Amino acid sequence: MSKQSANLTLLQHGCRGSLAVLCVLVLTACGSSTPRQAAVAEPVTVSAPKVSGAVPAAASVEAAEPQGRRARRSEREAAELAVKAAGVGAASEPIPEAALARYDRALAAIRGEDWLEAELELEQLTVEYPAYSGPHVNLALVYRHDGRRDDAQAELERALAIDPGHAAANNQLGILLREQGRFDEAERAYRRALATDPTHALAHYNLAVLLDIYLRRTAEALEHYETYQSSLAEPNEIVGRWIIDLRRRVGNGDAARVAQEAGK
Amino acid sequence: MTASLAVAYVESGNSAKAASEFERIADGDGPVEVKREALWRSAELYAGTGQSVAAATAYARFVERYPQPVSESIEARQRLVELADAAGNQAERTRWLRDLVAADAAAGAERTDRTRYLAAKSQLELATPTRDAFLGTRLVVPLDKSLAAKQSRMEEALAAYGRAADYGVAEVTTAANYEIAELYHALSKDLYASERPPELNGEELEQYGILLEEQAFPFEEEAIELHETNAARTVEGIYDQWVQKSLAALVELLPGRYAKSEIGESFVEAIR
Repeated sequence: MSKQSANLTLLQHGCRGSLAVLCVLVLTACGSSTPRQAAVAEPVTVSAPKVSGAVPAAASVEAAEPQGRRARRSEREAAELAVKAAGVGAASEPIPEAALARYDRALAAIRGEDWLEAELELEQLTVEYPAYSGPHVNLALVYRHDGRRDDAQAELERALAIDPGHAAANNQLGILLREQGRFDEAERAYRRALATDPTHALAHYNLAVLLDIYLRRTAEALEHYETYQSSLAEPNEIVGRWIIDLRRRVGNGDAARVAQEAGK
Repeated sequence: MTASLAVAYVESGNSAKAASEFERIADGDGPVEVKREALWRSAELYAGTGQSVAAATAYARFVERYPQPVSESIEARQRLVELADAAGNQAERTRWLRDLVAADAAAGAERTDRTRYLAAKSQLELATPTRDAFLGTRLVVPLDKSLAAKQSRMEEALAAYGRAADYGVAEVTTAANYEIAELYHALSKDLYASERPPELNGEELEQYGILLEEQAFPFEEEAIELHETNAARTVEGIYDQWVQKSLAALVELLPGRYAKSEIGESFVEAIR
């Protein structure tokens, strides 16, 4: 516990001219003499890099998407379209036309930010076809958008009961758990996402944030920021700055100091 | 006789009459233990029926008559704090907060986790006016005078929050550490924004501003360091509102390091 007193010392000393008033002010803060590094003092306005792991829809996403994945996704989408057209799912059971049609309407509603419409379609789908994970995950996203976190979490857990390794569901669950301060569980969720899909860029990114800010395991955080960054078609400038900052801190053991102080 | 009457009133739902019957028992000549219990029940019943003044009188009498056991005596003070708070009586509230802190400090071996918790919370409350006095002290010309006044108020606030943190009660410690960090933060901001001497011209004003920045900077540094220590409690799994507030402060103070938020999928394409 720091109890430094504000050591405000007013010193009168050799004052000249009309700036005399300046000279009365000499302030020192004890216990804080380290100048802040320019790299981190910079007032950076950070907007979260616009990336979406499973969404090829938004234009801004395209640029940030891993190239390899994008190509693979296009192939997969083509295959899925063919499958949809044939009315047959990837699994053994064919997906009913009505379910696909409703699902498409729900996704269109999400794209158009018509949250009420999306919610109604998805709720209906989860009732009629409870064994499909996709509607549960998307419904969770819609609930989260509405600030209904508990409902969102319940839907994610339903999706994970169907498909425990579902990458997007685990990634989303990780975020919700982190927000509740359940950091260890959040880490496990992100790692489950990565176990299913080691190239899941957002899970790398979110795990990095968790390790960086909340668990203060800087070296591990750095690895995941780097993995995320290298998966992007074009490196994200802000994340690039974070990486430089973390490399420097990993180098001088700063993270260990902060963690140790917290433990006192 | 009157004891069974009191119980009968309670059972019939007539709390107001029961309260005064219990008070009569408390003031009667029965065994001490019975009188003590009756006084507590009358206080509770008065409070429960909205008779705040009578409730406060009864609790205050309880504190006066029954210093032992300390834990109950401190609990009565806590009720008095709450009653004064509800009545908007700041002087009374402050008096009982101080009294509670003193009673816990003097309790020796009778201190419990609960009495320490209540005392720590009370000490935290007692620090609030010292913080507000510091925040309310404006830095005006002549700066040496106003700064001296602000400095002495900061010392008082630091001491008050320091005492709260010293209890080692987790949620009070994180609150006190947040407030201490914000005292430094406020001082640095207030220095930047302090009144400029009217006689300074353009260039002099600029120089004055630079000097102020130089003087304010170490306090911002101190604020950052203290917030970082508080924010690092997440490593131990502590993520209360104060830790979160320190993290939020760091987003402002050190955005390059702390303005990092998660990104989720917008939606998933696959139905299964």
